[in-house]
Amino acid sequence: MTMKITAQPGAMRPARDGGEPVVKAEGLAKVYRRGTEEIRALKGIDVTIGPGEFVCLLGHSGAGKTTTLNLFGLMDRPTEGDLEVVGHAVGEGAGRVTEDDLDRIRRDNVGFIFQQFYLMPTLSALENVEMPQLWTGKADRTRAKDLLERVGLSHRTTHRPSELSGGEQQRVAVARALINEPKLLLADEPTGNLDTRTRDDIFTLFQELAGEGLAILLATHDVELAERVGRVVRLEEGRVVE
Amino acid sequence: MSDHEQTSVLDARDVWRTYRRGSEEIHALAGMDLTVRAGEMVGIVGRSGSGKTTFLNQVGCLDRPTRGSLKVLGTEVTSLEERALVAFRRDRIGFIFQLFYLIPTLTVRENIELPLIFARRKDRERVAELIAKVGLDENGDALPRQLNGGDMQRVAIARALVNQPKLLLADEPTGRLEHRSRDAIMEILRGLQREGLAIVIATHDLSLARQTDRVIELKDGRIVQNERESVVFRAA
Repeated sequence: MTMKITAQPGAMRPARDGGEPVVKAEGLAKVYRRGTEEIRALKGIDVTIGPGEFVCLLGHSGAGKTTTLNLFGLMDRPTEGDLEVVGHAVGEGAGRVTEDDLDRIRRDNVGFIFQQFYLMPTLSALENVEMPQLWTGKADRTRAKDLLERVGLSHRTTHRPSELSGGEQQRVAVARALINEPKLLLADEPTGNLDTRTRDDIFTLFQELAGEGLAILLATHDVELAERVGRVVRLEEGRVVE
Repeated sequence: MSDHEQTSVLDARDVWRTYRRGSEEIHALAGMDLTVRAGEMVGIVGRSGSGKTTFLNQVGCLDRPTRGSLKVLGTEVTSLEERALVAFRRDRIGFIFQLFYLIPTLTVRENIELPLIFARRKDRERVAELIAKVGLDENGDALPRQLNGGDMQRVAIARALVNQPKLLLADEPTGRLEHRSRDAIMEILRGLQREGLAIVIATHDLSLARQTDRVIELKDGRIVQNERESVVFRAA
């Protein structure tokens, strides 16, 4: 049923350094139902991302970028196809995976960054960074402080989001995404609300993090931004194209 | 303490908030006076930049007035130290926002628990009760993205209530919602009001403001209208 599209050479290759892939998707498809209508958001994509790889997922609005991030981030389940995230098989065939399993795998392995930051307005920068750990009982204020320092915000720990610039808010969001030591960072238009210089700063930070072994998938419609990423996976109408 | 003070949840007297930009002084609030009592729902209207959000931020202890007196639940918050101010905000005041600010990677239940977790408390019963109260019994384990806008705001309301505040501050709470969801959210807020919660809603939507008990109109950081049937409505 699924039309399986063979990926272009640039879109699928073995993980760098021969490490185990962080994400491995084969024939991944997602169909949404709205009333009697079927919306085929992804029509069978193959993507493999290895440790330390910085990959850009490029496409227009509606091409399937956010659907792909939601599947890779275990926020949603595929309709068809195989998916492995940090060694955990969670695709269509892996029926035993419960919602709790997905929550746990996500929390332990995946970091997210969004265009709108999604920081809590009533919490300080430090508290926003700590937040994902509060459910795991592993809250570690020292690590949260270290991460804020890592993103260049050690002087802003007690500030609330409204007291920070857009770029600073996104840095807080990056620190929060890293608090659980993820293997995979998923970023959905992370620089869409930022000016050019701030965008460059965030981009440089991503490059450094990839250099330290983090796998990063950055979804954007910004061709100029994509040109600066080593590897680009282009999506069109739910398929990988070149 | 007079009777008036005992029942007032909010008492603002000549509140100013001045920002400096270079050598220029900007008065975001220029002498606000407002009293809100328990169980009262007040709408604050005004154009963008009139001071609505700045005022909510002062009342909500997210910011400090430059001068003036601001009593919230009987406490003069202008004299609280930073740490006490944070604790006061967290324990006594609920907030909801236009953009909901739910954490996309946390379930509905976890989003609601959030303020408790920061207070190093857990109260599963309270969370379950609130989920039922805002009509989301089926959705406790859902992620925000699986909900529509109206349901996301329901989650945000439940989160705002988890610490049992006496005062709820709402900044354009229905700005992103369609009419039916907007009405449902207002219905929930009215129910809370009947239980004695004081609610202050900042909005530029006059039809929403019309559903509150009392409407304040702000312009340039000052109140220009403060009455039930103000000229704002006749002009609208």
